Amino acid sequence: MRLINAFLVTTGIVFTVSAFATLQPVSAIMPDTTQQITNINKDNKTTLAARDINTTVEQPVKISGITQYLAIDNVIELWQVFNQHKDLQSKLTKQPNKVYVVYSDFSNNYEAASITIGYNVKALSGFQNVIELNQKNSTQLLKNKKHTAQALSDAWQNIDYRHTINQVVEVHTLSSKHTIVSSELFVNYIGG
Amino acid sequence: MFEAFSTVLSENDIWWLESLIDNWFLVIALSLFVLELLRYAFKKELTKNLVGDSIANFVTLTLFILIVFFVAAAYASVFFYVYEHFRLIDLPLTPWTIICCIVLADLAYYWEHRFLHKNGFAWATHTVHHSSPHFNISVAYRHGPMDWFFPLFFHLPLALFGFHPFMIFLAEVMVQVYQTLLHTETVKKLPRPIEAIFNTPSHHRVHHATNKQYLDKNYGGIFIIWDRLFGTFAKETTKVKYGVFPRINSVNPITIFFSGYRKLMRQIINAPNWSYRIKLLVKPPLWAWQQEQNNK
Repeated sequence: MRLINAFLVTTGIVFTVSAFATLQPVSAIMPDTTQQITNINKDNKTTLAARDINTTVEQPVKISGITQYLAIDNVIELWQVFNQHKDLQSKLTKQPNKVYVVYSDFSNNYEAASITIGYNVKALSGFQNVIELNQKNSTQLLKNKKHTAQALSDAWQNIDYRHTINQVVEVHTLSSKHTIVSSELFVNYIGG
Repeated sequence: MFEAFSTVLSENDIWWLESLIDNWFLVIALSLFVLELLRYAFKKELTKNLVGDSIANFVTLTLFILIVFFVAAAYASVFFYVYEHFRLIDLPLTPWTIICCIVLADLAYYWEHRFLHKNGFAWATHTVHHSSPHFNISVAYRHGPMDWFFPLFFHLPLALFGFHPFMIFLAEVMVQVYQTLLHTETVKKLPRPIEAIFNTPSHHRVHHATNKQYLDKNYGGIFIIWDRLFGTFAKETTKVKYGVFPRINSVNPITIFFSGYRKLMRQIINAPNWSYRIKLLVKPPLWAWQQEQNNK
């Protein structure tokens, strides 16, 4: 084949493979799970996410970290405690790629909750007070990508407060420098 | 099944995988090399020259790693700069993307490799790899001083196409690891479908040959289909003679490491004019050889 033709064919291959990479079906599932997804259209017009939600059936993810009951608006205080918690960080067996924030046991007005910030127990050498993520029938409110703090906050507005909330889970994907590169938000309703 | 390929990974996952391969593959390769040496010993083909040549190969690897230590940060920064500022699309960090990246990195490797054989300045570093008269796993680690430089230009477009730099580095490592395993005389021919699609020890022996019919053939990394497609494929039919002309005839790692650029410098100094000097840098090494033959 002549060189010019080889270059043209190469260009074609590059664009074709790039198109395959671009058009891939990105899963909207909770990370660290065994995936078995069924798409369900739920007749619930009060939430954006509930219009086309993914229901996951998978092995549970277990989280261990630090837990406090406090006002949801004050979660930043727990982050500061978490970041300086040498005992927890020293138990990491490998650099974690995700950090989880689990909100449960909400107050009646949903302004306070029991909040846990932690890692998957698979990344820890020892752990106590394990929280199991209730992923069955979890509804994804934010897809896994880079979000502003405001977008994350706004996504809470999409929770259907007519149902009793079991858990709200933020999953933050970390870079090698331990900074958050993307986030997801899930909600799980009791009996949902 | 598709969901497994679409699970979003973190940068850390990809970095971890690359480090794992980097850390453990050398151990695996060294183990295979020991087996190769035992095979040569069993066949009474283990010579002093082969042992000396193999030791020299690993010394050139050490020299190469030393150079990489100083340039790695700059090399990676170029990829990150292009990715952060000029990427055309955002590709998710998924196994699916990794597979696409490996295919394109392998295609990039094909063109880089072809360039190394067709450009005088590039050949001066790549000739080191080809200069061994032997063919075993240790030859895969026989590096020239500028071997780190040329992959940059051929793999950088991947960052432009939205592949994360860590993913590109992982793909480069995968291609290199696959290539390393091809440097053996122990494996003869693999089943026909594999020989048709993938690069194999047989195909790569042809690439290292000095036999006339094998010159400048089989540039592929993982896939041999690129060579078949672009007309640079040759099948191993007769016994391969390894090395380059003129022979280095040395197992001194320093002599070997700088042999290509020393020869190029000598050619440039002795060149009749500046046009000839530029052609020595730009044209294929075969051109320089033909000029020398004409002047004899």
